[in-house]
Amino acid sequence: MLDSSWAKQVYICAIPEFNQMYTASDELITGRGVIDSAGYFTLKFSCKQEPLLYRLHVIKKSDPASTLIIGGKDENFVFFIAKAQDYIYLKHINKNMPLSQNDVQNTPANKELARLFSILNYSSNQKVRTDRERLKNQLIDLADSSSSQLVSLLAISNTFGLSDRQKERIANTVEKFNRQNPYGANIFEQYKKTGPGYILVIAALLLIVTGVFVIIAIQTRKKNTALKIFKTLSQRETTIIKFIADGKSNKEIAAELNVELSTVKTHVNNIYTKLNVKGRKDVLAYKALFKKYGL
Amino acid sequence: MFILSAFLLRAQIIGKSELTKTIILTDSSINRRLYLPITKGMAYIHFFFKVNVSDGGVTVNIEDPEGKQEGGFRVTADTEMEENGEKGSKGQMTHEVNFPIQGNWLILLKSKHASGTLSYEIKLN
Repeated sequence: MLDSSWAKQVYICAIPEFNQMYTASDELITGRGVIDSAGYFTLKFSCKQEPLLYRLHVIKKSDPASTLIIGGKDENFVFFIAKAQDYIYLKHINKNMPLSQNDVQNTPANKELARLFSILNYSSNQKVRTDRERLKNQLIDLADSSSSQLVSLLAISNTFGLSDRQKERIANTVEKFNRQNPYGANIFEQYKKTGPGYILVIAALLLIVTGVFVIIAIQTRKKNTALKIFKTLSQRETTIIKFIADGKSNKEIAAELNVELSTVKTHVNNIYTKLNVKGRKDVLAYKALFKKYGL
Repeated sequence: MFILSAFLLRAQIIGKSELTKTIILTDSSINRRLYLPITKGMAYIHFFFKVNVSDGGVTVNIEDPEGKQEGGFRVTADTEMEENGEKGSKGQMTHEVNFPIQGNWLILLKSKHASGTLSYEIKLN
């Protein structure tokens, strides 16, 4: 598996955030092991109950413990997902490289992780726009279908330049996730929904319906009030209101009705009292109201 | 003259087909932006970066013209703990992009109180 240029040591790094996946630092190293002469090693390290992302790496004899070689024939690491009590098995598949992501596939999450990396690695050589769209959709599909929330979040974190429809797909996927997942903080914030959409729709409908009912109630009350007032008027008074609305003076009204001027004045005062108004202008407003309600 | 002016602004436009450089870091904090203009018909860009630090941190990032992260890594050394006879941290990245998108590719080189070396080799074809 490893030629003589490699040290017989293997290291495990805990990766607390996706942006530290490609960080070489002693602080990330959480476990160490020794590779025997047959190329085997067993390494135990502390794990949490929830699945976390780890990186296993080997080093050349001349290199420091925290060494990261990305790309090329000496790429020296693999990522894997593990939680407490898990048994992770590495089977060396690609003999041309010390380690390969396909070496770790004995759990469903790690199989999906390998699938994700194969998508990302293939895409780096395809730069035409249609392939970029295919890459985005592959990542979104994987995020939606993966049984591992961590793999889904990692797939989403590798998306870029999304359309509104694609963002909506991701938002719907993210909605089902456990918001306590530490790897998803930025993603949860980015795809945060203000609340269940249907609640907003129902609230808006209720508001509209309530508003309509309120308007109808007010209009009904106004009509009832107008009706009540109208019923207190005599036929003569109703006729005089019409003459007032036409702009006729008391004298003209008296001539029209062939009654005494004093009689008209009495009727007009009665009208003012019943309508609770002070002048002819106010009477006109009531005339309009009576007309509106067909009185 | 234009390239010299750009360099004074802490940015550099790489016009050559091959560029190799090593930066010695001595408690250095740098923030360099290298612009790589890619024209139509270019078949590939080959990137190679190698960082060794005994102290501090160095970050290397590559962005394509559309702002997509193309690759990168970070190296930090916070202790003088010796493992395997070597102290510090090391990062190395080899990356090739076939049929790169036209436009300015951006290489970001940052360090924070870093001591060590940062080497890079960029080839275009």
